[in-house]
Amino acid sequence: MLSARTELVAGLVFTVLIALALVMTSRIDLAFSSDLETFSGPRAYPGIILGVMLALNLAVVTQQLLRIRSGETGGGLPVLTGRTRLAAAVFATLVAFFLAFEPVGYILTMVPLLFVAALLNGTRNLVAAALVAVGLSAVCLVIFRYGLNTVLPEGILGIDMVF
Amino acid sequence: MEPFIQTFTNLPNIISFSDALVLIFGVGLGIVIGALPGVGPLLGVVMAIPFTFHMEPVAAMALLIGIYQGGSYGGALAATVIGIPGTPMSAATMLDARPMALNGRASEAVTLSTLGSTIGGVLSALVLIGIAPQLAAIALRFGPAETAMFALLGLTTLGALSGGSPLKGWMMGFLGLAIAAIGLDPVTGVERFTFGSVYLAGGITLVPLLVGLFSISEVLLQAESPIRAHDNTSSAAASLKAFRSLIERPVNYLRSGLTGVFVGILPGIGGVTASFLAYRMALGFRKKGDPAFGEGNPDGVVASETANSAVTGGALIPMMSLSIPGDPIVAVLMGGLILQGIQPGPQMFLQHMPVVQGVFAIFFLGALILLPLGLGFIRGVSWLLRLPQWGIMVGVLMISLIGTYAVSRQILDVGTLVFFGLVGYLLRKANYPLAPVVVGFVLGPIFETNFRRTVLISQGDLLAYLTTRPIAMTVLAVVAVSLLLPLLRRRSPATAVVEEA
Repeated sequence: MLSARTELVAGLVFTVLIALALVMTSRIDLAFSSDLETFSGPRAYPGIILGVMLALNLAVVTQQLLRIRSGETGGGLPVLTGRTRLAAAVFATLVAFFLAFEPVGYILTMVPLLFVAALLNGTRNLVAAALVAVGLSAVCLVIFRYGLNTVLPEGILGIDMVF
Repeated sequence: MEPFIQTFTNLPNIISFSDALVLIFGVGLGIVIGALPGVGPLLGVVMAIPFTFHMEPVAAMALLIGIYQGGSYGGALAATVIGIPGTPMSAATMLDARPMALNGRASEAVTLSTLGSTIGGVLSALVLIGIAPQLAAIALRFGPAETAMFALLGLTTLGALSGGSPLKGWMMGFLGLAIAAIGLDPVTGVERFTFGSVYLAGGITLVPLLVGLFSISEVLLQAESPIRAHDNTSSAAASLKAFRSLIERPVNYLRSGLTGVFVGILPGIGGVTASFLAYRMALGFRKKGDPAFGEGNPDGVVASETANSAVTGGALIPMMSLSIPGDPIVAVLMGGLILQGIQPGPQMFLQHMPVVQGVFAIFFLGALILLPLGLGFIRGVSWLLRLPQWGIMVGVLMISLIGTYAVSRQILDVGTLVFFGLVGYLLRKANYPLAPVVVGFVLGPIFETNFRRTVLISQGDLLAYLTTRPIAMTVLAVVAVSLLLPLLRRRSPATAVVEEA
């Protein structure tokens, strides 16, 4: 079980996000200004959803406040650990892949991504990580490009040069 | 009964040996495709369409239906072994199959999924063959009000998928509904939450959302603290134990199968609703000695897999009888028939009876073939479980990224995938369940579009209009009961005593 304080923080973050979304909802255009439209129009539906979500979230926040008040702070699982930086590094690698995929191309982005992901997921064997990265990228290229006829970004290297 | 008898007595004349081989290939390919996160049976069927152009009609349908049936089942493999639903339908399967795998019962979970898929498929094939036209006539009476109410019924499963906190389950369901509201308003075309982006105006699509929430978040979590599924039992012992479920849990198989068939018949509702509805029903019948639902209860796996496979046969009924495709995959199958010069609908039963019987036979045989092929894949599962965890995660990452890119060939879908990967990671860290997000996201547009159409048709007097729609009112009553029953049970002293015991 997570600590009540952690869950409280999560609940408060949700409250801010839902409130922002509600403000944005109030700015959605109305297609028509009839009464019928305001009841079931493009603004009402997300407004109702976010309103219910806010109420549910406030109930979760209240639950956590009651837990803290009763002294049950729960020492459970810490959300941020020393290893969280590994997850952060994988995420940063994914963002870099997303930004480089089309301009740089499939080969030059997928192989480094898989190599780094292998290392971040626990292997210390650089040769194995490199072989898996190159091997899987090649298999994936054959399946998608030549088997499923999916055009993958050629980028600066060009895929057809590889085969 | 006539089509039923004709199909079985003429089986060798209806489909040839080569048709059967194509079917086996299709089912096997479908299982592999369904197991790949982000790829799924829809993409598989779409990719296979060009290959069917020069095939005979029955062989073409054998390939397409095989991929559909295999793909619907294949999602359960990824859900069990790596905790990532290969298809949206297997998100419900994962709730119990994954905990089973983490407790050393991976083979048993996969065998249960295989049995459920086979029984669901056979059941729906029998219904398809026996009473397709009669059931299609019922589906014709479904208008926006009925569809909206069924979607609402599907949404009542949200609280049950919370893994401990119903409030969080509901909240995540509403998060799914909110994400589905991004894009153009389905009735008026007004932009909602698009920030002026053309990409967002098209709405968030299911594949990057699903794969991001489950696959990418899993890769991030595994980098932080590796945890893996394993198998403590031999596959033979696991299979034997799972096969015993046929004797121990026959009602669950039957109830879930019929739920799947019925939901499949209703246009536009689909397999996700069926699997979660069947799962929700199973919650009320926990066997003594079984783990809690969400902690590796076999009934959860059986309910979800039987229902989502039963949907496949049900979904063919309105397509073949009325030319109404109930879901996107069936729409592609319909396209496959049209490519062969066959127009689905009532005339098909008069002008192309051999093809109709061929489809019936293929569907029935496809469901049966799933059993040996699925059990054969258990060896593959055992092999996969022996691979180093980092290798599995690297493979998952690659398939998730390229699978998502392949569906739309839009790089922004990869961005959406990465974004929802982070969202899924944070939600899982904060102990919020992810399955309700999928249910809300899938059912949101169905509910909104049909509810608002109902409001427009009712000309503002919704209640009076609903009283003229008995099916919608009945479903609404079921919704009310399913929402109120847990509250009443909680207040009942008798229930409290049972729970304590």
